[in-house]
Amino acid sequence: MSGLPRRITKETQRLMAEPVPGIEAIPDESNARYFHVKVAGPAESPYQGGSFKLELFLPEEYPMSAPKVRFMTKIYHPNIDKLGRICLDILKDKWSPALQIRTVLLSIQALLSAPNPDDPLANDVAELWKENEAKAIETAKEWTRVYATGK
Amino acid sequence: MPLLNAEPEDTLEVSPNPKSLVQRLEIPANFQEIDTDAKKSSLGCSTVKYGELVILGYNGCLPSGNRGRRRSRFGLFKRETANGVKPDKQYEVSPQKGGQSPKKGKHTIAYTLSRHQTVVVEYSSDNNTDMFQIGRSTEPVIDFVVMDTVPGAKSQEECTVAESTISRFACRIICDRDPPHAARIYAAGFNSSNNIFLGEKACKWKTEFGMDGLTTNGVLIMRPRGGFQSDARPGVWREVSVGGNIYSLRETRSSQQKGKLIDDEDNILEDGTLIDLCGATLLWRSATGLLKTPTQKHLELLRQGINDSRPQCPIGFNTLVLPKHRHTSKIVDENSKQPYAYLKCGHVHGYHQWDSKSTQQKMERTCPMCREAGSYEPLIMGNEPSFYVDSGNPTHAYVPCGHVCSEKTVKYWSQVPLPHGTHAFQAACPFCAMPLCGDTGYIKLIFQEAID
Repeated sequence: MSGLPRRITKETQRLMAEPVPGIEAIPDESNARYFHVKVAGPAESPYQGGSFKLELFLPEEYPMSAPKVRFMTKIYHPNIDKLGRICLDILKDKWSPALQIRTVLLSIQALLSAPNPDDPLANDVAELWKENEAKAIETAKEWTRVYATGK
Repeated sequence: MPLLNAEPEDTLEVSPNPKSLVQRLEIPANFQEIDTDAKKSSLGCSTVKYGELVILGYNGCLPSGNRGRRRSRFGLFKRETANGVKPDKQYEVSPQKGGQSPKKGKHTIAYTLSRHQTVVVEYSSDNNTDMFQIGRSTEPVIDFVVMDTVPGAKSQEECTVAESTISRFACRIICDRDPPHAARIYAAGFNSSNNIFLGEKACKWKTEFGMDGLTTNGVLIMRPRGGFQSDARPGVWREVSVGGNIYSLRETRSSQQKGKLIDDEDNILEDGTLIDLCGATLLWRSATGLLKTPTQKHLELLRQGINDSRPQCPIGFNTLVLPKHRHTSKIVDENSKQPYAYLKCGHVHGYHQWDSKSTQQKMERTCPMCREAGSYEPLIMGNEPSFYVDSGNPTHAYVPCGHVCSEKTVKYWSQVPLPHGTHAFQAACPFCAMPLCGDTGYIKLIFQEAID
């Protein structure tokens, strides 16, 4: 990991030593700025039981600019589009260098527990979520079963 | 005791050349430093210390260094022979009538009432007191040369003012040679001819005991309520007259009209008394008060205590070290150990560029920890022990300068109104004289301890 800023080295060491419950983040063998992430669907959410793969990349300017994070696993969520892009303020204008990989992943985990259809990225999902929440949740559960249970 | 003055600036002055050491010891007693004082006692001289005067706005040393009579702090020691004076007789002189003229060499104060009438008060030697004179003049009669303080000045060049408001012979302090060594302050000092002249335009008047007057810009004093300690509160500013009487402040600093006589107050300096010379403010620390004040060594341990907790920059994750002195150049290296703080919220960071683009226009930056916008300043330890009201941990910083000291100390000085201009007051950082700003003038620092 030579040439890597101390900050990234230390964050990585701590992520490995004290992983966040329900979150796994492993740096790529050939690129220490690229992390293979798995987030467990939070309990009491439509995503419970699922394991969602994400990719997280620390750009050159990190931590002065936010990590790039994307869902690899298909997910039915009003704030995540079909390309896996995430609508989360701290990944955009609300980024602060005091935030870390750890806090970003915790925020994504929290987003799964609390979808926000009023600030949608996937408009069709958000509309269904507002019009017929029960049906939307059922769809999310179905997608979780189909795409996120390792089958 | 020598530790009190164990400042690197002083050690720089000490040359290994034995000749210069001899010269140092030949300096009159009152110019001695405490460190040289130790050498003095081995020579069998007196080491009774009356107290110390410290100029507000310097962090242990003038930007040009502490040398001779030009220094940030001045110890008043018992002289080998008394040089105090006391009023002796009073007589009138008029140029027309001739009459008695002052004896040569005698200390006199001349009150010019009109072109035709001058009242002279002649002073005689007082074997029971020592006199110390303070002013802007560098003539030998001035023991402690005080120049105007320039807030925030970091170099000698920045310290110069176009026009000084400090009198060349600003004030004198007379100390009793016998315990408890009361120190009394008087406006005006004697010049090289041992005279004080109060001209036609000066504010002066007859009293039931003789004459009295005020100097042009006056000498103001303020005694802290409850003594100079952790619960100290500022007192009321008063003006001291040439005769040592206490008056309420004039309407403006150099008004012709004197304030009201305050009968029940005297001109004895108490530990923590502030003396304002209009351009510089001095803090009087009595010998007994200094015993309760942290030493330089103590402050150094407190500073190390902060650093031993290995505070970390929450962004770069690098370890920070609170420095004793200001770095000469601006820190622009992100790996620097210099701590910076956002002075609105108190979060301590290393140097970084976050949200720095917008600072070209505005002075404030957004704290990455809490998003509060505030000024972002390097932290520097407050090194002058005499300004400390207790020995608490250096957990707080002044706003806007970033000088770090104990909570009680920031709180005390943030409440002290210091004369500013002709009739205004403002609180200032005692270590650099910068006027305080923000809600309180200080902030509690939030250090992030190492996470690994």
